[in-house]
Amino acid sequence: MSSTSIFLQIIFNGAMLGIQYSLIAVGFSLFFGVLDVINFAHGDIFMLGAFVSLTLINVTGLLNTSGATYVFLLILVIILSMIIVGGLGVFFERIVVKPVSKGPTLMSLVATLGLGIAIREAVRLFYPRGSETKRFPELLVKLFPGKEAIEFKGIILRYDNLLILAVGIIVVILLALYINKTKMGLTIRAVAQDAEAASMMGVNKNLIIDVTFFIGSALAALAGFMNGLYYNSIIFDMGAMAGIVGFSAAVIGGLGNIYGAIVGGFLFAMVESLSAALIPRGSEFMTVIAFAVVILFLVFRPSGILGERAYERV
Amino acid sequence: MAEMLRMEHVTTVYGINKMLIDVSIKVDKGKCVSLLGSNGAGKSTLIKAILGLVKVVEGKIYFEGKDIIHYSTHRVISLGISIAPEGKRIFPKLTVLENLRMGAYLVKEKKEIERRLEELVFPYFPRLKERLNQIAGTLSGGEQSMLNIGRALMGNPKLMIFDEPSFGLAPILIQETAEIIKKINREKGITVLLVEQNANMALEITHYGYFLQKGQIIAEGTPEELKKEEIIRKAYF
Ligand SMILES: Nc1ncnc2c1ncn2[C@@H]1O[C@H](COP(=O)(O)OP(=O)(O)OP(=O)(O)O)[C@@H](O)[C@H]1O
Ligand SMILES: [Mg+2]
Repeated sequence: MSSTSIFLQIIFNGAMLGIQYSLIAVGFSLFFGVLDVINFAHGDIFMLGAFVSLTLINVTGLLNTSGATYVFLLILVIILSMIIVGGLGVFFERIVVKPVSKGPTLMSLVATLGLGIAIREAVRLFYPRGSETKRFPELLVKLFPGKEAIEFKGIILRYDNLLILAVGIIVVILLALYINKTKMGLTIRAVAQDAEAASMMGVNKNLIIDVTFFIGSALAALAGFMNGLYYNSIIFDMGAMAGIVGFSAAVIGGLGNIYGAIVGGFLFAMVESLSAALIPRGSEFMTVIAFAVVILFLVFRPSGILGERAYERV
Repeated sequence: MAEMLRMEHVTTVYGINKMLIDVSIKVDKGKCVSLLGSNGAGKSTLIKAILGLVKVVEGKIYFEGKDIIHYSTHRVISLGISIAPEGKRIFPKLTVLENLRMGAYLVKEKKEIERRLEELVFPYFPRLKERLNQIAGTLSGGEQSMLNIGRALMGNPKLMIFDEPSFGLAPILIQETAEIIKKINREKGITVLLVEQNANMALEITHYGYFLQKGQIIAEGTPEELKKEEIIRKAYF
């Protein structure tokens, strides 16, 4: 492998993971914006995304179809899992997250951690053989029979990974447009800055909180689906680490800042990817190194890359 | 005369401390009514009571005959109220234009939003027009006050509430603000509830006024009547 292709591979791997981390981190930032709460159950929402999409793949019989039907069903699976998990996110917001967000920080911390554990354990107990690692099928190979992957400048690109990248980039762009260009996006930003003033303009704050949790949870679900596709396996406790990584990415970017969360997600993933490639036995340490970078950020730039002052958000 | 807003024997509390005590006011349709009083008298608390932002323990509040005491803020607003709240409650990280658009949150039609910008905001506040894409938090204090008023003008209200609109403005702009409020009331027929420290300015443009002290209404009447009141003369003139 030439050094450019090594470099490309690092970037590519980083981007794969970066997309997933970003999609999780965005939720942390959105929720913090409108509710001033850090929702530690968010990683388990990501896990639900993986399990719901796997279930939908089985239920729809996706793998037994081909051609246009296959493409249609695949899109349906992705969108449906986002909608279902988005709805669950709103449900959990209403019964746990919003009620505790008014109380002391410590209480919301414990409550959302508890909620996360409850979701995790529910999957372990009630999903068929839920404590085992589940195989998550490769999906795009079916459309290109006989060829597992494509080669580009000496690096191997799986079709599924290209799907992750393409969908991820499209979704991130759509999200940015939504937040920046639509009335709902404007309203979300206004509520994040001054919820009471927004209500004085006639904004129903509770509705905006619901919308925010729907979007954040749906994006985490998409990340869960991507994660399944990336590793070809999912497990009930996959959300624990993902939640911490997503939260860290949001912090690096400046909690509450959506673009910061996206940048933070990519940065975290690139550090991991670089350490795995450049440091001897780096893949064992890559997460440790990434968290060391997070800690450095907390020490030297506590408001994050794009954060200005601590109290300003979105 | 048809009434727009009526408070009857309203008492509010902050924690265990009573703030407003047995306050009754009435704002008739088409009128410009002022609420006077010194710092800490409870003027903003009265506005908060209307908006459902403070705990009302006794009394009733009616808007166009509807009991609104248990309404949440956005529901009160959607009945047809728009407010320029006290302090710098503009959205600091939104642009000037985005702030103005938030003021028109309940206005559904795009054309109407454009029309209100052109007819109600830009003529009065050309400075805002020059700075539409500036981040609102970077406006000067006076410009932020203008934006606060301009944003309220963007709604489509039956009743407009201004909580110390002249605060932080240069004398000439105070005069201009008074003109704008008068115009809104006299020409557009919008009912106005005006909270002011600046009694001279307020009494000049209002039909009726209330004087609040330590949470109680201690005087009310037409501007002429109020100017004669000993207690107000002492406080202001
Ligand atoms: N959230 C609160 N908790 C406790 N006390 C409060 C709260 N808000 C206001 N107060 C107190 O209630 C009193 C009345 O406040 P309010 O804001 O209504 O005064 P105001 O008449 O609007 O004064 P100003 O002209 O200075 O704005 C003040 O003494 C204030 O300290
Ligand atoms: Mg006040």
